[in-house]
Amino acid sequence: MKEGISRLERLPELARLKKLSQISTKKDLLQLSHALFPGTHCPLFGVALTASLIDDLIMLIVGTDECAYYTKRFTMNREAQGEGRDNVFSFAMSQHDIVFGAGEKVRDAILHLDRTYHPQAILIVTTCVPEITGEDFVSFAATLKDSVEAAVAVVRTEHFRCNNHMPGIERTLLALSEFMQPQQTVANSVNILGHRQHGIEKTELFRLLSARGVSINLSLPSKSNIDSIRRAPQAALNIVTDFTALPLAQRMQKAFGIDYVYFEKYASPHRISAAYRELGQKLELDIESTVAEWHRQAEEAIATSAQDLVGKSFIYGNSPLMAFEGAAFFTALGMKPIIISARDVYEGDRAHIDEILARGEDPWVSMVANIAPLQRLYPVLKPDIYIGHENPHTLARLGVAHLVLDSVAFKLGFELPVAIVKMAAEALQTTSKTKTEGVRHVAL
Amino acid sequence: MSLYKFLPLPSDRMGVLWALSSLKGACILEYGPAGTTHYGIESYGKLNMDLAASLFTTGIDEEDVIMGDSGRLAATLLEIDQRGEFAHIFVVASSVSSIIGTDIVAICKEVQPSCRAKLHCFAGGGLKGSYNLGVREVLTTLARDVVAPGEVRDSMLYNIIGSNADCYNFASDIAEIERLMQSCFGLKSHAVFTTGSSIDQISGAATSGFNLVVRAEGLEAAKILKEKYGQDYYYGLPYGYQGTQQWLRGIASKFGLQIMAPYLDSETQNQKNHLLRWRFLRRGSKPLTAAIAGNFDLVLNLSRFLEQELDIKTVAAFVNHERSSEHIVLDEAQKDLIKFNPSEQAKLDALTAADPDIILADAVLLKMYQKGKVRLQVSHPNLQRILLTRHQPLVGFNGAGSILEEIVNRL
Repeated sequence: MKEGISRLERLPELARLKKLSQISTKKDLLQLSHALFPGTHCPLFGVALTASLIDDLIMLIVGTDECAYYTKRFTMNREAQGEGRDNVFSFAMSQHDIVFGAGEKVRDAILHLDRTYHPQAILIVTTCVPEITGEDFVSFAATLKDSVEAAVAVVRTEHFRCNNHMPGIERTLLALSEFMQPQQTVANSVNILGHRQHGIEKTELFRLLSARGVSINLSLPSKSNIDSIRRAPQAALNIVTDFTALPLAQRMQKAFGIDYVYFEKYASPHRISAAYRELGQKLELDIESTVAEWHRQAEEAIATSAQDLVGKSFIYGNSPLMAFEGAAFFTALGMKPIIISARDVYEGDRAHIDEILARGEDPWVSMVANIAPLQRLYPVLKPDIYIGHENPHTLARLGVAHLVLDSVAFKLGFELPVAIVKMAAEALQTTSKTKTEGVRHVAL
Repeated sequence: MSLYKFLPLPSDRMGVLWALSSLKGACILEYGPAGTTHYGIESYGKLNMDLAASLFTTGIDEEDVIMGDSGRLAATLLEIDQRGEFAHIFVVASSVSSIIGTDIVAICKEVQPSCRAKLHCFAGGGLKGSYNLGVREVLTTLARDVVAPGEVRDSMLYNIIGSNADCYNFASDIAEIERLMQSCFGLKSHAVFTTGSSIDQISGAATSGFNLVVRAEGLEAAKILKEKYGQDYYYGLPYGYQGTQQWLRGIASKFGLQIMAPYLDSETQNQKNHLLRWRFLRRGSKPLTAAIAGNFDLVLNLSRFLEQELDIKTVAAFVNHERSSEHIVLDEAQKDLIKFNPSEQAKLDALTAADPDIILADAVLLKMYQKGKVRLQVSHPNLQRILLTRHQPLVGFNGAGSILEEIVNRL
């Protein structure tokens, strides 16, 4: 392996990147090339991902035809697939609007939406262009309060100030907090904040809470409407299952005095145990022995599936897990990271990075969502498995196993790492089978 | 009010990207936010088109916007060029780069001497007009700057100008046009501007005998090729039986070609049988009306087919883009009937008032207006339909037969 790595050290493309041991902040995440493909998604996409899950809400996009067109197409598609609502309207800015301002026309549009569709809330979503021209839609929204029935809030999505779509999710959740109203606390009830997938009731976390008599007041955004968002402060505790909801939890703590537990989509059983323990303490639930038993069972299941993973090299691409936490988990299984792609260095990532380094691994780290130059390196890097979104045909041609983790985003608790390891082992087996049977197929 | 409940009007920039993205061997570099590129890539599937070109973005950050730093465009161009894979790089501005005033034409001019690839700029950034303008820009640029000088060497070859990803049924329609040209004249197509072709094919287009222009946006390109290389062109899109006959006879007359009589006789017999059956089925029935929506040439020629061959009156005709200079040749009746880029509400009002029996339109209009006995998607935008084959045209003799068959069976 050492000989292999030193050979890779000499690759000029990789010389652009920093090693994990040199990573401290987002600025250390470098690109393999100037030319990017496909590039990161923008915050507008993050808003659409989030707000299309909320009933009684209209999104009004203020920007170019193109931004509005793609977003509308995305939400139409989502609705057709039963994954969300197509609640997008667009105000397409003309050159005249860009030069002279669109405020009055947007006011007319909002009045029209309010009177025609009677939504509970309207989310004005400003894109790059109005943010460059500097129209103040936040102040503008405040002036509408007496004219419209719907509650109005603004989310700004200028992509040139942030490199990915996560701020769009974070800002949408924060904007929704503007609709929340003080409530009487309902004992033994919690809000799940940040879960964007359907079927929260199927998760291990939910099942445990239900069995202990804890009710879910709101799952935001996956199962929510404006009325339930207004009543969110009824909950005794917030459980944050995605880092994008941390600012919302902090705001709710300040505004309504609601404490929170950070229960991320962790892959590490130890971190899951710790999150469960904190949850038990804050809700005064006696779950210690249950969690300990589940942890033991999970470790056992992981150990069984992980036998074939030991020593396998991987490239970590874009996945629903936090990049460094996910990579730390695979490294803990005895796998060898070659490159980790990440979009940011988040709070808590220092510990995940140190875990990987402590295992003697120091992979390259690249900015996420630039697959084109990476693809040119696969034949040289020869990873056993690629984790994340990629073209399956490209990987299959090179005999690289492919692990897509989208389905694990539906899970919370020990069920998540157990599923990951099982899927990883299956992916490797499938590729290995294809490699050996490939010749026979050709001969046939 | 520029408020849309459904899809907004695609911009000139989107037209540029759609027209270029089907060109194998082309490199497209977008100068702007990466998210727009990523979003765009995800929508190509709905065009039923593979992304054949190599597409990249520079990304753009706050420093570029505030300080006007455009260094990353030059750096990216040089990096791509160093790989030596592309003879042509098409640089596409974004709305952001246009608004902050980045002069991509000047930057490309400065970088060009250091590049082996030829650089082409599309500076509109989505603020110049609707998508058809972008398509026209691409076709014109290809004719002017990509087609290499050469003399007509093969009079058995022709090029097709104006089949692009925004033409909903492009794969089957081009296959039908190629079949017609082969069956009627024994000729083969060389380059299609732009679906299914490569940069090399476009580059060698001057050696073909003549050009067929199938959308108005290709006329400027055809004129350039005529002027530069003496390649003549014929403009028209063959909808309907008689429409196709006229189109073939027009080509024969323009280029002095001999029509293969047995082939046309057999198609004429089919046409007679189909129309006889149609008239028999419609005997004593009340006259039918139709609404049509799509690109200009589709709307114009499809309405002629319905009206002149099937006695179906077109009562609403919507062109899904803005009117530009290519579309000025309309007679008074057409001017009254054909509406360019009407608002969603105007379309709904017109359809509600006319209550047509037949709707031949894009998927959005069909979603927006749920009435009509015959509802058939013939144009872009597409929402859900996946087109896999190349043998279900809407143009040509087979297209006329398919459309008539759908109408007959759905009435």
